[in-house]
Amino acid sequence: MWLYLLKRLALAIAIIAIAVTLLFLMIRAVPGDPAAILLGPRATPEMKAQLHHQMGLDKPLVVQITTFFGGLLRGDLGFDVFGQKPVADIVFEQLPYTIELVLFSIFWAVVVAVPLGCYSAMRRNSLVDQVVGVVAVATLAIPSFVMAVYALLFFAVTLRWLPAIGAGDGFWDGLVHLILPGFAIGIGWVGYISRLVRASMLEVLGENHIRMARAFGISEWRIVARYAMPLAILPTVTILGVGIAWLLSSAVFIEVVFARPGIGALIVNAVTARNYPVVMGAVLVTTILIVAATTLSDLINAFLDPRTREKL
Amino acid sequence: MASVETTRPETNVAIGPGLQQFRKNRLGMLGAALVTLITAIAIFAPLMIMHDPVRIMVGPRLADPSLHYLLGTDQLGRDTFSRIIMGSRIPLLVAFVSLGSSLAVGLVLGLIAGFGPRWLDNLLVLFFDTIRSFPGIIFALAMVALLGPSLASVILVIAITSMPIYARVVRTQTEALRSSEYVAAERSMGAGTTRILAVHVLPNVIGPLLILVSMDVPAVIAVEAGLSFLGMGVRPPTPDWGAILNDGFNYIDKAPWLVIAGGIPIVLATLGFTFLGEALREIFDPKLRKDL
Amino acid sequence: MSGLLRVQDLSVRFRTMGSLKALATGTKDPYIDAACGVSFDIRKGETLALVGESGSGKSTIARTVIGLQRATSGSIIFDGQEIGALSGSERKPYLRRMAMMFQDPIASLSPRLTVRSLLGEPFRIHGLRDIDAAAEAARLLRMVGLPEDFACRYPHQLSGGQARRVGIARALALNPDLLIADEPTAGLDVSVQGEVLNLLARLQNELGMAILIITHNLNVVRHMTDRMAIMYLGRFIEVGSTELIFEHPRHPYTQALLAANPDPDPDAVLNRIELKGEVPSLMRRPTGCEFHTRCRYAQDICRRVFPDHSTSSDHTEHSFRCHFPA
Repeated sequence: MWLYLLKRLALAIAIIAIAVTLLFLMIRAVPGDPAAILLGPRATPEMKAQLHHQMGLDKPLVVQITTFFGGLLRGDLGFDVFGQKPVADIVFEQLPYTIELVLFSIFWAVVVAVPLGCYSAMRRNSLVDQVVGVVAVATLAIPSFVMAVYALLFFAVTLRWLPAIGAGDGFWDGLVHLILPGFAIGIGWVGYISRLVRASMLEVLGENHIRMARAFGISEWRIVARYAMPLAILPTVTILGVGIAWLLSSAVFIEVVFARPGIGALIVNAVTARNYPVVMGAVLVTTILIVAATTLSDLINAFLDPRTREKL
Repeated sequence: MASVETTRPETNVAIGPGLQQFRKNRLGMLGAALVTLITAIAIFAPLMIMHDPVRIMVGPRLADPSLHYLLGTDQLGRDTFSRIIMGSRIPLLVAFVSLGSSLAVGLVLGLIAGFGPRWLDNLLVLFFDTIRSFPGIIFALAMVALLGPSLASVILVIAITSMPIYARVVRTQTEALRSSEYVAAERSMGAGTTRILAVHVLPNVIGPLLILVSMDVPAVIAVEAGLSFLGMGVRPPTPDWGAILNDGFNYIDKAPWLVIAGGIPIVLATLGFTFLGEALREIFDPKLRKDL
Repeated sequence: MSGLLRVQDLSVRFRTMGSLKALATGTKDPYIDAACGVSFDIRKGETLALVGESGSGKSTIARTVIGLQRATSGSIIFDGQEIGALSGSERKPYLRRMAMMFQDPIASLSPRLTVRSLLGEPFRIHGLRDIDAAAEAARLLRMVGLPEDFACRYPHQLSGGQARRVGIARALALNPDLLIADEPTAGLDVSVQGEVLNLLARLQNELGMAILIITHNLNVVRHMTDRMAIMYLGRFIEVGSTELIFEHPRHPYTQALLAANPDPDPDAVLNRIELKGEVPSLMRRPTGCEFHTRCRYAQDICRRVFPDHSTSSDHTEHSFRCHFPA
């Protein structure tokens, strides 16, 4: 286990290092001078040169990368010349909004999906199970932004039940503002998680100790809730780690549709403005988040299932 | 004594019984019907449109749906119905070109990783894992920002980000085949690596891979539409579902039919390809998983 | 009879774990010797058996001779030529003159090819393009006693015995001088085993190739082979003519193996010597005579001194590694 832990962490660090280098090289490989883009067409050569110096673009590439890595270790993601602020400040200002949205979405999805999956497993091939199965595939397929636009049209524009834009002020207002975005992100997960829970539940229900419990005359719901559920939920937990990339991707669209602050909105704005330092910083932070989440879920997996350790 | 008579577990390759099974899969049939319909529309689009999809002011701005403008008009007075019909071409083109090239590259790299020396395998897998850890649409946005928004950028980004999964699947399968007895038998006859890969490994790897690719089509359609929705996809005035949805979104309170019309083809296309892909997977390769 | 294949002092060493893991688990020697100082030769038209329990290194030797595995040391001389160190393309002309049949009759046939294409593989691999593949396939199927319409079948449509016949046909397609047969009867019903062995014997008579049989089935050895070598932990412990060894086994391990085999002769005196204990791990070879942990005759010297090959006084071709041969 310790050897696996060590190897897995080393791999995670290697991936982050390679990812950073790739991103850095890609930004530098683009035709066109970032400084010129930032300054606009009326910039004088002196202004460009000064900005070059300020952004460190006049140094050799190796020095630039090394400086960048050095900064990264200190939590410095560079400087946003546009907004005259450190990139890290901007990114970490927006990150909580996205995390809040993602956590809320996944929370309600799990709360709905787990009982649904248990029920599907207990009444296998019943009408409910089959309907849930089809709906699960369908909601997974429909892009979250279409879902978001339709939800916005129906609940906010037509019915005017819920607020359409922003993140709200204070706890309750904030919660109300989370409902529609959270629905659009979470709905696909309801289908996905309920199918996962159903599959692992079916597996667990076939095992001997469950049959034993049944033989003792313990009620089916009690067996599911008390004995099978804890075992059946474990695979779900590890899937969530891998699913973070998907969650963040949906969050980008949802933040734009509902005009919420957050990392997605930040990136879309930065991309539109061609503000490379901010784009780079935001991509980096999300990449690190994803690598951390997948590493964590791999480690949990390895802890639960020794066979996976051999694979690395 | 263990019986060798039993069939070995392997991918179901028989097409005949598979087709019969497919006919019984109602969702799969629905998916196939939707896919056929959308493909037909994309092919015959120029014959079906009522107005020039890119000409502005063919009618009044934001007109309600009518017999003349079946789905109304947008903020520039363009006919939405014609734009939706012509807009079917971009997603299919993007899916075809990006997944095709990513399939080819993934196949080659996967074969190299699976059959090549150990160090090269490790290096390639590290490379695949790095690309896979880039945050999906966020990475795509960054790339498109760098390359400039265009159809080519969208295709390139999708090809790059979907390749590692194919390569990993091919690698895993190749590695399993590499130690199989029949590959050893071929080598003992003097067959070279190229011959073994082309004649004995490739045909056994390509089937599951094609199913995997078919299951990615809806995701690609969603990403293409999504990038266009964010204004990072095809350039205006090219008709595209995501772009139409975006146009409509800006006038959601005044002209709701625009977002309804823009979103429904995206929903139908992703559903159709998903149902079809799921059915294919269920029939031909039930054990296939993306999370390899 | 003259020499066809001569293997001298052949060793094959495998790495069992990565250096990182070896370091972490404190393993100083992360290698095993699957074959260790093995020497033998096969004459033209002769049949030699390699006998031993699973894991004794029989298959490793076969795979090394055909070139699927690289030898760590030692030499493999085929028809006067050293082939152990040859690269793939240099080896190819020799692979035309030897063929190997693998254990699993169905799994050793490429699953997406028809029997006709499978039988054409040797010709295509060796660039014999002007050969009528269909006619050759028909000839080979006739040769192994299968109907000609089998040419259109796929491997998964064959039974084990049929697949084995196809394997034999493919191995003999180019008329090799040496056939290596790795457990040719494994996984087959007893009646089919007999048919396959008879077929091999008949074809050897007709075509005159030498056969290296790898097996743990002593009945096969007794009825098919001229000479046999018994392996234990990657080494030969007894080599000699089959007849002689069956009659008068010298090594206790051979004795135990032969005794464990049900004798077809009902009048034979039942004299079962049972092997005690497990086969030791290749990772931790016993000191001295490697068989001492399971040997009923083991003395102090057996635990300390590794026995050399000794030969029988009246039969110089019969050699064994034992301090106290029977």
